[in-house]
Amino acid sequence: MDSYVIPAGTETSKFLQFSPGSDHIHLVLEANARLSATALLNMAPGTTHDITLTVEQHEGSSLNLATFTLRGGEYKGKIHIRLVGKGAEVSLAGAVIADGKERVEKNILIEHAAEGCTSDMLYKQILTGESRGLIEGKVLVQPGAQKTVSHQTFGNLCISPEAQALSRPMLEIYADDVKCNHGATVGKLDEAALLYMRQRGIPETEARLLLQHAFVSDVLQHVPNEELREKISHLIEHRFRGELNACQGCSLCDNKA
Amino acid sequence: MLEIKNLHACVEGREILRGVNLTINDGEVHVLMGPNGSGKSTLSNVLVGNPKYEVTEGSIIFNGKNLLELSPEDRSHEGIFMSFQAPIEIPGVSMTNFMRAAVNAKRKYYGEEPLGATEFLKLLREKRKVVGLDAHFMSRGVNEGFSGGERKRNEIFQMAVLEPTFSILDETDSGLDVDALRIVAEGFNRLRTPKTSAMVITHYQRMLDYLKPDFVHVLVNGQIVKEGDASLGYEIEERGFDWIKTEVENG
Repeated sequence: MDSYVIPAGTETSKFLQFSPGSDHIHLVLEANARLSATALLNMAPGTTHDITLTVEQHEGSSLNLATFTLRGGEYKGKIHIRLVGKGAEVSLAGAVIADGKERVEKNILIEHAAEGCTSDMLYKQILTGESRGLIEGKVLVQPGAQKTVSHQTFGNLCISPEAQALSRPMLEIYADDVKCNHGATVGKLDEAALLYMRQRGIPETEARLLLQHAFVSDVLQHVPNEELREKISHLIEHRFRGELNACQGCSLCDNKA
Repeated sequence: MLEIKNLHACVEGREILRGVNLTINDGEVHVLMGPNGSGKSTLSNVLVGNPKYEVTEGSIIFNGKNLLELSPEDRSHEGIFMSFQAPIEIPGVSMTNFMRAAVNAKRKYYGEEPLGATEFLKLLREKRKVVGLDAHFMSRGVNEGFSGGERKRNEIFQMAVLEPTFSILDETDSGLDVDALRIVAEGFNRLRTPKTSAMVITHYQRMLDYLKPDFVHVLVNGQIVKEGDASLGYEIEERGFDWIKTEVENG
């Protein structure tokens, strides 16, 4: 397990690099620390991965995490955030793209263990082929964690009829003064938007690709660094075009996979 | 340019067009009027190849080509453009990326290389002037957060970029205030050449004032029942459609 501490009162951004197979990263955000973290998973098809991220957030700390699962093979990801200090904030955003026989399972738990903390989850899945994607997002509000505010949004796009997407927002609340809500949608590509684009001369396949990319654009907005955001955006585009092999063309890590 | 013969078309199994005949030559502007539900929008949707509309009989020849055999994107490349009645929002696809995809797809169709970044941005800058669309719209999602007037201006901007030979303006004037209508109509007029034609669907006299159409056609119940010059448009503005319906009923 790799462990990192973000010192009190500092602000930093970090690219989280997970090793294939089984890996665990633990982060501690001390009081008023601010961290913007990005993680990218692009694993070879047919491989199996079990990846865990645990985070402990102290008073007034803030975490903005964006994760992109471009290829997961058979992938299980766990995220467990503990908000242990007053007024801590966490914003989690993730995009999962899967095709073929890929299986992606994400299990997210945000634990509000102190007063006045805020959490936000935004997860999008785009599935084709016979892939399956499951996202379980749970917000647990401990006794005493009053004035908790939490919001969960899940969106799924199934491109092929055989793909299966499942989102499970869950709330477990043991405090009485909280504001928690969630929403989930499963959709197909917007036919009216497709026609509009084709009328302008954009070929149907290209139009579909642009719309898929657009579907995860709000997740991309969680990457604060513009250069990195552009890079990931390009990787996603290559992924949709079927031009992306594991780590090919990706300069983000040292081709660890 | 465009020759529509005995066109019959259905939407969701209901026949809307019942034998439309219409010929539009180079350089002409034709106005299509008609009561709600008479088939005006169906005709424009059929022309752009909306897959929801099914042509059951008749033919459309566009510059010598059988239009009905072409995909919506190829119709666009061949020079057909529709300014949509209710331009849709596409959040997450920036105007710039949208226009780049459109411009380069057309260039590819004609065997040309994609436009370089500098040239492309220059093109957008030039064309934005036609309707006075600010630069910041280009980084927004397509029509995302645009007001009604901005959306219609955006349609004419796209028309300016794509330089179609045949444009369909489907109630481009609806929902516009006087100033926005002037900007849109003047923008459209600026793009007119002796080689370009248009079919304009409108309910308003103001649009006739601006566009000075060559012909006005009245569509009732899926057929063109009356034709004339611009004065017919003004007569309809004054008297409505009932007298035309009565004329038709009395043969």
